[in-house]
Amino acid sequence: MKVERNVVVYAVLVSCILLLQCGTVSSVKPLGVGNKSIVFSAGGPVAPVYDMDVPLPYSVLRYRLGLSDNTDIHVGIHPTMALFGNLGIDAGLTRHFMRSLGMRPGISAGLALYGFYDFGDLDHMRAYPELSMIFSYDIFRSSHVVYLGGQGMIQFAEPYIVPAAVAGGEFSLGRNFALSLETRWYAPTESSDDRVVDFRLTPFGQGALGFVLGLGYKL
Amino acid sequence: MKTQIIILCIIALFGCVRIISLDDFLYEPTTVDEYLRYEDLVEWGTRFIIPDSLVESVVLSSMGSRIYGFFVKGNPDSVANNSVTILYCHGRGENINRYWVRVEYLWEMGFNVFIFDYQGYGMSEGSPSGEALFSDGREALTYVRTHPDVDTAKIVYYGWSLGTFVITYLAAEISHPASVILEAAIASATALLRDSGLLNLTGSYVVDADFDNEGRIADIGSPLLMMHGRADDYVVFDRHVPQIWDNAVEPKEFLWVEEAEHDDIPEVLGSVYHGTVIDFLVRHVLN
Repeated sequence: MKVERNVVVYAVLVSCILLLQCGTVSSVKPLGVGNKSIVFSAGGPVAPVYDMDVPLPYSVLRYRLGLSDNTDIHVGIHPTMALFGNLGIDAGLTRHFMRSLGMRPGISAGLALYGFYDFGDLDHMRAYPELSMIFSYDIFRSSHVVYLGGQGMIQFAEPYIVPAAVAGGEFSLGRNFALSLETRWYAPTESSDDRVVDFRLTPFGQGALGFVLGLGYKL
Repeated sequence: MKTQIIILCIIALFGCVRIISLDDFLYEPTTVDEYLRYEDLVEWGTRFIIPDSLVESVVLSSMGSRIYGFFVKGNPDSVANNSVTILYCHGRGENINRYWVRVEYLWEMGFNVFIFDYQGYGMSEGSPSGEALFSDGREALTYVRTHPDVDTAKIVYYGWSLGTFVITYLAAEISHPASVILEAAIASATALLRDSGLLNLTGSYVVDADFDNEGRIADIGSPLLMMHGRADDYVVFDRHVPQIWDNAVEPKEFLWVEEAEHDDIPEVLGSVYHGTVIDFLVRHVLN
């Protein structure tokens, strides 16, 4: 006798967790003082959903504002969490320390705070600070950028830090639009074995690999 | 910017009504037109050892739906001598047919057994949900408590996997039984989320079902026997058992089975399973 494990079951269920830090694309280029944009992004670790292996669709809608030439702030809402009847928000700041020049990468660091609440008991309220560091290169001095970096979400429970490695590209589409495609390795510090969700891409048996697609519009 | 932030907040608040939940993924029922047919039982290792004369078919009403079950009078030749009745709550998959072999194990030990299908399982009407499972469990318990062959002081709750959520609910919030047996128990919906997602979100973010063994176990004063397979790769020991066990109050006993997975503890243990259950119930219920 063997329990029939419906991989769909907890695939979606669990995805909601990893996806919280996963549905966003990284901010790699400064907006410039006073400039604004909105970015809609969706994606997550690859897992089976109804017999198809797809990046689980956690979505985030962010509003970004350039505070100075090198500093942006953002606030965001999380539509996927909203569909579950939860409030999901985030806010943060990105500092661009260095622009990409030749072989020298651009360097950005970010600090964000994610908040979630299901409108139940107050102890259901959750907040997670996140730190990020991104290294970026302009592609042939164009407005297209490729980047890689890492993020760490912090919580007051084990594991205390849930990291993610990111690599991606941001490609300008005309004057106002930008498309981002990002690959993320979620929780590479954690074993993928015997998880209730059957993540399909688990490099070295650690964490889960996923993809996030973002579309930005300069207001 | 202020306007945009206000718009974002309004959109966020619009989402505060749950449109989708993942509750359905917790259940994997199959339906049947008829129970206990040979061809439906044989695949689960049923031995067909219970005489038909000891099996009573039962129909109950739960939340307006008919739910089906069977009251099985224990083996009259056994040590336990039919004085203990086990209310058995089965797992998330299939229906009673799949668990009949488990009924046989308990029957041959000499215990009366009442097993039932949750709403949406087997022939039971309705759809499974957390509320439905708890309602079904309450109705089943009411039936058992009023059965003429049942000594109400010797009712034992036995749950396997998903069924453990119903058992702890009944034991903590409805009626303390003579003892509780939890096999392959899941700590909580929250633990399921944490298991793969790593963040410490609560299960209530994605499911309505109030499944919380690790919370309710502290409110059960009845003697507890927990069984879990160390090789369980579905409800992984280290991610679920300590959360329940540490919160459980005395008297409590455990049987951690090194080679067992999620669904084969009795088969791995063989006669040790029988001996353990009988010994536990003799000490805590019969004596």
